[in-house]
Amino acid sequence: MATVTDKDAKGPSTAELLRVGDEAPVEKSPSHWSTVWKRFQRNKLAIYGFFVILVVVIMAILAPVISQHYPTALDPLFDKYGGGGADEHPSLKYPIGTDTLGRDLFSRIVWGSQISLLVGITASALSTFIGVILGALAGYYRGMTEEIIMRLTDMFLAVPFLLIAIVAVSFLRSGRIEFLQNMTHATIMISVLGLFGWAGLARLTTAEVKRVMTLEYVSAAICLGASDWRIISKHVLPNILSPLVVVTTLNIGGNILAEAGLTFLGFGDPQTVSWGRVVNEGVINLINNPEQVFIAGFGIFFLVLAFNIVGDALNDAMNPRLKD
Amino acid sequence: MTEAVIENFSEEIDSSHSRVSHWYGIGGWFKSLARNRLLIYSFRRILTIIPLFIGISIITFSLMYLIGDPLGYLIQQNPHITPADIDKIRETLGLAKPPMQQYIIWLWGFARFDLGLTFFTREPVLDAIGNFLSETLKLQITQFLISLIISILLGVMAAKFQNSWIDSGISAMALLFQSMPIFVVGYLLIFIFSGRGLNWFPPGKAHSTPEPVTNWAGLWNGQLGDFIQSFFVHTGDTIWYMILPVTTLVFSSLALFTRLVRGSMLDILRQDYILSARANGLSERAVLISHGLRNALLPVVTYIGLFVGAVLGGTPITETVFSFPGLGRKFVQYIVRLDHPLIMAISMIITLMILVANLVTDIAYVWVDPRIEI
Repeated sequence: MATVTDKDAKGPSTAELLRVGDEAPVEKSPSHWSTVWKRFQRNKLAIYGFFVILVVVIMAILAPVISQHYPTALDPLFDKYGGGGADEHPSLKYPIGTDTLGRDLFSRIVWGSQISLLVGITASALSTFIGVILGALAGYYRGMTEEIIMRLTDMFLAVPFLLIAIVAVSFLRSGRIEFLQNMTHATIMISVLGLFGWAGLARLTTAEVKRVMTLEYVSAAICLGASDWRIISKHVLPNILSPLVVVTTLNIGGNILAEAGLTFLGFGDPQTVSWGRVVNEGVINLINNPEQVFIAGFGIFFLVLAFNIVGDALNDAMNPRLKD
Repeated sequence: MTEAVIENFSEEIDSSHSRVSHWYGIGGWFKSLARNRLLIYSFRRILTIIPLFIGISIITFSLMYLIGDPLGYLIQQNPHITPADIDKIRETLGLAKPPMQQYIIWLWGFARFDLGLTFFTREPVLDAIGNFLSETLKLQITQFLISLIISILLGVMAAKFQNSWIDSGISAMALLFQSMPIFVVGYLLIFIFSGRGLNWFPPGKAHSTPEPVTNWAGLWNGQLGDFIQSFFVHTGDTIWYMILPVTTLVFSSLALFTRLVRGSMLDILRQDYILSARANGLSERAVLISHGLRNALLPVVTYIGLFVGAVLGGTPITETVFSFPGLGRKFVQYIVRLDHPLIMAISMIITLMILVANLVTDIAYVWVDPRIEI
């Protein structure tokens, strides 16, 4: 059986590799995150997704500047001879037409992007926050804590999500409880989607924490007498960050879809402009004015697609071994 | 002689692994039952779904109870109603008792398959939703089977030609389908196939009106010829109305299933026994199907069990888009009218379906794969 010797290797020999201290490396070795960013940049599709998200973010921030009219103003440019009115097809005056009540659809879509982004990102952040805390507790302390948290997770995983979300949104919108009366549409959606969406993440965190806890450096930290908080925050969590970032990014797309679905079904606030609401109101004109449904609908589609692409690309960039 | 030797031998190695029992008759049967790992596991697993069910029902009941007063609309519409009348109605509907007690009454009823009477029509809840339940199941089971078959085909293709244009195409398709809001798919299909140009499929409802026959059970009128004719008419009508909603639902679940099958197949194809099967000169087809796919389907099935909730969750949106008379659409209507027994019945029946699906996949997993510790 042939053995591989130093001579067979084409690169530097073992002796060369082992020579330490002769010349210190001038450059600092690249950090984990800069490597990830470099790999991410190499992915063309990911840059496209990033670009779409950036455009929508700018659109949401600059909504008052971009849109000429307030999104709930009725037929803002109406004059007898220049056209306009309800169910107007796209024209120079109204870039994508008006809806049944004569409101400028372009402004509505620009303003609606605020709600989609806000709800998607904040709800994912909230569920990640809850999921990571519970998952870390369960994975670190084990025993009874893990048992209780895992049963709670099982319960939230088995919940028929949309049905419970419908009930919860109706409850929060009814304003039956004093201190919940002043919740806006965005706050209601964020709290419902955030509070019912953490279970998968908690499971993932528990499994990852349990895996990391068996590694040597954690044992070393325990032996040195580090406190629980220090071990979790300094040694465990930074090392399980990659899957958490990926799942959170993918969750943003799911939350945008869920918010759009709930408002489409009519469980949103009629006063708040959101893409699901635009679709809901445009449906009655599906045959004559299809742009009322499809422009907002494809807006949701492209935004969610961008978040999913970025999530996948992050996954590839962080775990290059998983790809092949 | 040999009998006795075997008898002794089996007594020698009497351990928990030995399935041979020297008890005979009903006692031995019970003893072998008590040693059956699958049975023990199933029993333990069934016990765990009871607290889950109760927990979810408590959440649903309290949220639903807090939405508002079911009589609010009635009181608003009848300014001349007297407080005595209101009390009387509350008493009849069972709303006069404290909420805790109402919940326990509901739970006890559910345990005996008695879901109560609806608030508005005062008919048994099961009669009110039975028809919708069968319509929803019809839709869901069809879409589930279709998307499973297509996703297995696509997933195996993608894994076989990994990193080729076929793989990237299938992955891109899965990504697109996953990002598509389900109602946009529905309206796109309606717009294309039953809108202006093509008038191929009906845009909504589950049967044509007036219905040719009400249901399959009502077809029999004593004449065989009539029966066969009306059977085909009814079935054809049903399928014709199902095509668009089922396509929409397939769109939404295909992405997830395809990704699962692909990932699982890739995992399996990297194993050593696939290499040895190839080395033994088996055909590519035999390697892929009987060595690869059979093992790859196991994790897929388990995962799918977990995602039944997500699949059933899409029901209200699709059914609203196609005005399909199913459970999801009725749920959206009843929640506005605050019909407590109906809301509880629909959400808890769907919860129970999810729990049972998880249970069945877990048990099947243990049954198929003897390596799993329980």
